[in-house]
Amino acid sequence: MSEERVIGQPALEPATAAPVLEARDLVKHFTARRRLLVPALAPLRAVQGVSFQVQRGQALGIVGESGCGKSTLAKLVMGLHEPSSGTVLLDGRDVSEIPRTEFARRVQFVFQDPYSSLNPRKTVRQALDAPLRHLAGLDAPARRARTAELLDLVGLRAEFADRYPHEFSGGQRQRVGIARALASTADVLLLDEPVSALDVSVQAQVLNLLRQLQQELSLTYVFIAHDLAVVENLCDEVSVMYLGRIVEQAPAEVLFGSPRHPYTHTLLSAIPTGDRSQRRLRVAAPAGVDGPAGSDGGCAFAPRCYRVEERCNTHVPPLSAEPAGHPVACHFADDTDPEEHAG
Amino acid sequence: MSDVRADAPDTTALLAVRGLRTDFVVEDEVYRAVDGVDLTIGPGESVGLVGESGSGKTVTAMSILQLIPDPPGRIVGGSIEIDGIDLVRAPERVLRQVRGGRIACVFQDPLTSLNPVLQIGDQLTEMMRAHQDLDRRAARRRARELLDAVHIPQAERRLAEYPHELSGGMRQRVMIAMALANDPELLIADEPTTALDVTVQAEILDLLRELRERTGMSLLFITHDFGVVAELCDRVVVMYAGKVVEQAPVEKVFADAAHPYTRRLVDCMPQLGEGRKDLEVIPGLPPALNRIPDGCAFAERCDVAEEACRRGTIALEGYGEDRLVRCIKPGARP
Repeated sequence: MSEERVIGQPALEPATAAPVLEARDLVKHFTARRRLLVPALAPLRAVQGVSFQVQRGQALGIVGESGCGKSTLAKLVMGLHEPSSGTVLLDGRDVSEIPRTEFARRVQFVFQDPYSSLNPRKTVRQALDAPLRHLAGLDAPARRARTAELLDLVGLRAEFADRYPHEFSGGQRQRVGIARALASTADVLLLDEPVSALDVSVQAQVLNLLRQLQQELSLTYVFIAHDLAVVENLCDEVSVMYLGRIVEQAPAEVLFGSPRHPYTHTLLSAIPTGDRSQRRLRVAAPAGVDGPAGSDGGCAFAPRCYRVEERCNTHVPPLSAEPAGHPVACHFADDTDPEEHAG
Repeated sequence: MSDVRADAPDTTALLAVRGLRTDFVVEDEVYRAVDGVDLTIGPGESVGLVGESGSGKTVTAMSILQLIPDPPGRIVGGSIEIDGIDLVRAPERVLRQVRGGRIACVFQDPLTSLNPVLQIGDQLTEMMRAHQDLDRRAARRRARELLDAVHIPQAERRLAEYPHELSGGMRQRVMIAMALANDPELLIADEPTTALDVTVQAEILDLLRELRERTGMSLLFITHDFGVVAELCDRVVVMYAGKVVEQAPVEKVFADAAHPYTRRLVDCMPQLGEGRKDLEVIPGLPPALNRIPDGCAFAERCDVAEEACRRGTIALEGYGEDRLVRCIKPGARP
């Protein structure tokens, strides 16, 4: 993350130039509507100062439990939510200054549920037609050719173009969703739990497809998921989110190999491995819905943490790589080994 | 219709499913969702039923509970015995005693299983008073104890809350409390942790393990996640296209699956610590349930299939000392 920033220069070699996509200190508060005679609620702080960078051709994984703000973060990046503060940069340009169509030509979304994100009344061809016409700017014969090409790219037969979403299995529908995202010429994809609704054998097919497309087309991914094994399988970098903040950020092999934040330890230990002899961390109940709203005076994870000390309840730990290692937001980042502290 | 002779009448079984066949008829097409399933569960045993969507695992569970919507569904063959009572032929009066009494169930989505307009306490007491002779007071006291047993904090207060006031994990705990209300001998849990976060899933699995040790109930745990099965179950039953294709002690399935489908299913799950790599995939899709081919339903996708796999009926046969497999080349590798 210490590369020199070279703004405006097309990044050709992966991971050596400026980030393709960058978030700087993104904040999103949701405020409940004021009602007469009802005391105002504290705003829900869904995202509280999140920053990340993704290099061309890289995949950034964002993991966390439901309610941690990962989908809100994706929507902020997509411009589907207006951030309360902070900026998103695409190739160094503030996206709020990039025209919508131009942005859509570069950045596209793949949703979790291919059943509800495709229009049931449109064939695949029709679904691909809109981005091919309006974003890729192709004429009719070119659109026909490109549709066939895209279907081939995602591993669907050309004759599927004239079928409707209900005629496909879940995995095939997710392939259609990916083809639609690519139809716009996008090179940055935000994937929000793209395989979590799929059966394991189909999940493996779609993960392999995503990896292969990324290599062939130098795509850049922001991959949001709760399944850590899936994230490890696809991502170069991983950010762990907890209640609106990134608590740990590292290359995948480092994060999974030597995690530093107690929450990351907790997540990893919760995965059922089949090894019954392995003692799990005792995991405290997650914070209630009021979690993100409050959490002013200290580390949001403190109530569930096995490494908690006095300080954690009074000081929010900053995300810092000091004294050694990758960025982590914990006062005791160098002393969180669950073997020593848990139990 | 049973094709298991190896372990025929097992008098020690709590539940014995034999040759179960369940069809769904939609627009004159017959879909055979469950096609001759044999399944026994011993007292205190924990069995994992594993398979992908459409393999028939949920329909098997619903058939055991006699909860198949008719039409379009119907149990067309086989028997389901608990203590000498055949649930397939039992009158509704008997079924009402068994369901929620001796056999209880927990489903994937607790929000749709709970009544949104009734308080937790009322739902629990209704459940108990349908099966036991308890006055309102005693039922209320027992409801509190149950919430304590599933580790719901501030049980007394929770009794007066509605399902929407609880988190997903808490709702699933309430469902488990309801299932335990009448001291069931068998708990059927259909993907009870699939909709939950990993940390919450870990808590629910711990809870189920603890309750099983304490009450000695049997468990039929339906899931697609082998990791979960390995943590909780003694024995695994793998289903494919409505049939049981393998049955084995849990540790053997991981180390050395006998059926090619089981082997490939285990292989295509990403494992932590493997880094970025291509996953093994199973090409193709399961057959449509109204057009199940002759022979082995998996042959078309199998990496060791030969001509003989596509003919006749392939039986579930003994393999080694404690396993059953429906394959003419069990344990074969490509």
